[in-house]
Amino acid sequence: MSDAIVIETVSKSFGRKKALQGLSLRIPQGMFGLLGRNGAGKTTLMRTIATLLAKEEGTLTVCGVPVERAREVRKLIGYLPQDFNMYPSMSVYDAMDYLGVLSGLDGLTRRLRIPLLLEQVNLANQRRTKVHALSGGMKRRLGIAQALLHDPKVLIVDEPTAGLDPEERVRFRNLLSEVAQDKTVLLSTHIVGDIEAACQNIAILDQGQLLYGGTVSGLLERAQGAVYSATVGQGELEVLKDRYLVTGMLAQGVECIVRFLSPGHTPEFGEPIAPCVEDAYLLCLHQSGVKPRADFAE
Amino acid sequence: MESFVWGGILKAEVRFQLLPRLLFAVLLFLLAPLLFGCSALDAQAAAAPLECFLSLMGTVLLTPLFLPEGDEGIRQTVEARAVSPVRVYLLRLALGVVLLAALVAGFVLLLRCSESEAGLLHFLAAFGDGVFLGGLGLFVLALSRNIALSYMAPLALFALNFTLADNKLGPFALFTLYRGAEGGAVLLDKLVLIGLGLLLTAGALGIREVWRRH
Amino acid sequence: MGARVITMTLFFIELKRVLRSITFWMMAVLLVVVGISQGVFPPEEGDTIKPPQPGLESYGSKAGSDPDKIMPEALDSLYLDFRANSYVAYPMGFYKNVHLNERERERMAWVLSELTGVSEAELLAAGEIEEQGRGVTIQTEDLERNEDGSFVVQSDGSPERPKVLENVTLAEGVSYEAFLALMQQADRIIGGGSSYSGDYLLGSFGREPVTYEEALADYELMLEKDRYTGAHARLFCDYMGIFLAVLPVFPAVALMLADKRDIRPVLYSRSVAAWKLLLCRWMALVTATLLPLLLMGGLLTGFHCMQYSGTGVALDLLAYFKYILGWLLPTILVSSGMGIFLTALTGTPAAIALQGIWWFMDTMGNVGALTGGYRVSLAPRHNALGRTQVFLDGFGVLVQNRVGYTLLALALFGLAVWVLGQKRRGRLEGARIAQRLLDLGPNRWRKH
Repeated sequence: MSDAIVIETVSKSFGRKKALQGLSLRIPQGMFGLLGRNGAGKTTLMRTIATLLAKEEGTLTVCGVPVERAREVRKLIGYLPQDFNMYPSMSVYDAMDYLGVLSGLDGLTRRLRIPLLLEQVNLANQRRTKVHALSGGMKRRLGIAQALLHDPKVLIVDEPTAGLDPEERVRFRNLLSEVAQDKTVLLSTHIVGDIEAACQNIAILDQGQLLYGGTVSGLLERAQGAVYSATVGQGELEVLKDRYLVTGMLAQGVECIVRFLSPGHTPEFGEPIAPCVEDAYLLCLHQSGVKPRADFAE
Repeated sequence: MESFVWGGILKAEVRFQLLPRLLFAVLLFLLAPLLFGCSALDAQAAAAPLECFLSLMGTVLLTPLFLPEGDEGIRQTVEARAVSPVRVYLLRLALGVVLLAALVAGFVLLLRCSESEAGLLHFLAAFGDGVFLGGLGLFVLALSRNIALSYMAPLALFALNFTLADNKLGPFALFTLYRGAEGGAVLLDKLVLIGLGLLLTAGALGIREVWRRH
Repeated sequence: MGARVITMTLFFIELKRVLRSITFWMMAVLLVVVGISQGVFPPEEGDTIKPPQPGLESYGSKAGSDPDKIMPEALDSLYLDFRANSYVAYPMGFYKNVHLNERERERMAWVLSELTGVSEAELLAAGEIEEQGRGVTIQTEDLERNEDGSFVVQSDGSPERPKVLENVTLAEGVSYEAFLALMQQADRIIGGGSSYSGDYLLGSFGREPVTYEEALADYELMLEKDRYTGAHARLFCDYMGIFLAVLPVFPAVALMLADKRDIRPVLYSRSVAAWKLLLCRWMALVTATLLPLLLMGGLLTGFHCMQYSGTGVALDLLAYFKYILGWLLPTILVSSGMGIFLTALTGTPAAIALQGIWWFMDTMGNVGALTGGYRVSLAPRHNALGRTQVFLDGFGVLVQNRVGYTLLALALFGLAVWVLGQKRRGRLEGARIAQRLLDLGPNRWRKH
């Protein structure tokens, strides 16, 4: 299976800030997750692939086409930006129709595809609803529909589930999984659950650099034997937090069940447990020397 | 409201919102002597740069009152605070009016220093026109939430004043001093325009408040 | 073929967007209001073209061509102004009463000395006199109009040459060319816009009455070339052009500003070429702007058919459409093109400000050439019903003007396409440039 997107030593700066630093990555067909903190460079990478930003160094091809050939690449990709919106006074159908025209689709194709896509994203009953009257979830579904309108080979979706309720989030993930059966879906998120549920391959970015690129199972393997669980009292909790990276806490009366990382050595207390993707992600950040953020629970 | 709150809002206004509008108003101020001259103008000629050009500073300084909150996300964030947005708008308005008065007065002073016959009536002429044009634009902005339309209304009226006689424009005649009306009549006209301008501004704030609550 | 159909579809979608926008409707209403208020939609009662009647006291006046009449009149006026040290000028179309300082008076004395042969010292020593009240303000509503649309103003007494001018005569040997050059210099000393410069001089001094035969010849020329509607269409374009030099910028700015920050990535990531998207928008704006004009033109054509039904003359039924497309269209192209370009570049309504300033300078700069003022004006003027010969004489200049502005509009469009292309690649963020230019304090757009 050839790689849909090939990124080689790509760099991009905004003034003095280096958003991407010599990034190299190969994205195969299927669902690919891009994980990282806010400001890691995920959106910059996605916009660069979508030809909305010009890279400064390196090469980047989409289905073998260099991004410098922007018009060709735009025919191959469908892009759902983070803050998707459309003209408020347009109806759902009008917005799709307009975007279809901008994608060079003829009238017959638009008349055939738009109802199908609206059906697929469950917006068929809202075809006459104005964009400004749509809920957040509906707007996001419209966003995915417009990105699929011209049947692109690659779908780029930037944080699509942020702000959606759990039911909407699940529905969205399922939709993307369906789409990924015969396309490449590049999904960026900082919600680890999205990755866990849908992606086989992921990349972890931080400060414009690649910390990890590979399979989800490979990431989990790296965290094998490094994740522990312990039930501690308040006093021990503080000690634990000082010494280890805590990835989860569940208060139970005066005690607390704590999930923490201890790579490379066995801690004084706690039992080893199977890692989840969140553990593996945090371990990856930690091992790369990325300082964890302040504990907001404090 | 505590003075530190007023001070803080004023500081933020001056630092973050005012500069583009002020720069453009100053550009008009600097263009006026180049276009009209300012030396040795008699009373009628001195009225030209003021009524027929610098009054546009009112549109520049007052019409964009609600623009900083044009983005819905910003508007909701700001309007959810304890300090009423109306107070912020009033402060912003006061700042705009003071700047308009200062720039117009500055130009009148410039004329006087250049041996031109300009006085209080000239100040009132430009200031009154400016307040009215700014208020008109603001009212249209509050109604339509369309920035292009909000500038169109005062500029269209301004343009119509060039092509129509004063008697066809009624209270909306802006160039009465330049066109030789009597001092008393000009004073009355300009006071009416100031009143109309303030009324339109109040209307704009009212519409905004109604829209906010519903 | 498919691509053309898609382009046409995009054009119609954009046209629909423009026609649904309140900014467009406001502009359309304003254009109608302008037409009505200026008395061209429909034409005022007195604006019916009729043949001149023989035996009238006056058929109007025309710019003179006799230097022997022009030169003494102009010299008398200049001398009186010099003695009163008060010169009326309209440098930007606005009235100004200029008083020269010492140095400028000396320069003017030199000009008069060259014209009259009297020494500068003598001229300066003559001292100042009170301003001779030569300026008169007349309200045209108070006067009776002649059939040809002109007015007659009579003074009570016979015109007498003021005593102060007794010894003022043109010096021997002053040629007409030298006279014109010296008058031009006088105008420069005054600061421009006076009656002593160029065409204004010929229009102000040595005017000659139009004879019945000349009035008849004018009328017959108008019949032949304009066939009534052409003359009305020109006047219509004169008034409309003033407002079309600025109004189209508003719907253009509104249309471009609708592409807010969160909508732009969705549009820019499409495969449509920037030139195609902008061209469809521009043409939609221009087409929409033309619609109320063409509608008014059509209605006026019908009105004129009734107005001139008894004359037996075949009206030019296409006159309004020809004039709207040839005279007004380039103005619309420029003002809407400016709106598209500057909004694409800056992401702000800055186009309104710049176009507004341009409009002001263009309109005011043209006040002294209200008829036949074609030159470099964005809104060429022909503020007269008829004056066909003036139009024909200036036709070449007018064509150059209109072609020039069309090319300028195309250049603005080209720039807009380039800007959009750059922005689609994340370059040339105009707002960011504006931010950097205006940011003299802490950068509020910097991420913390």
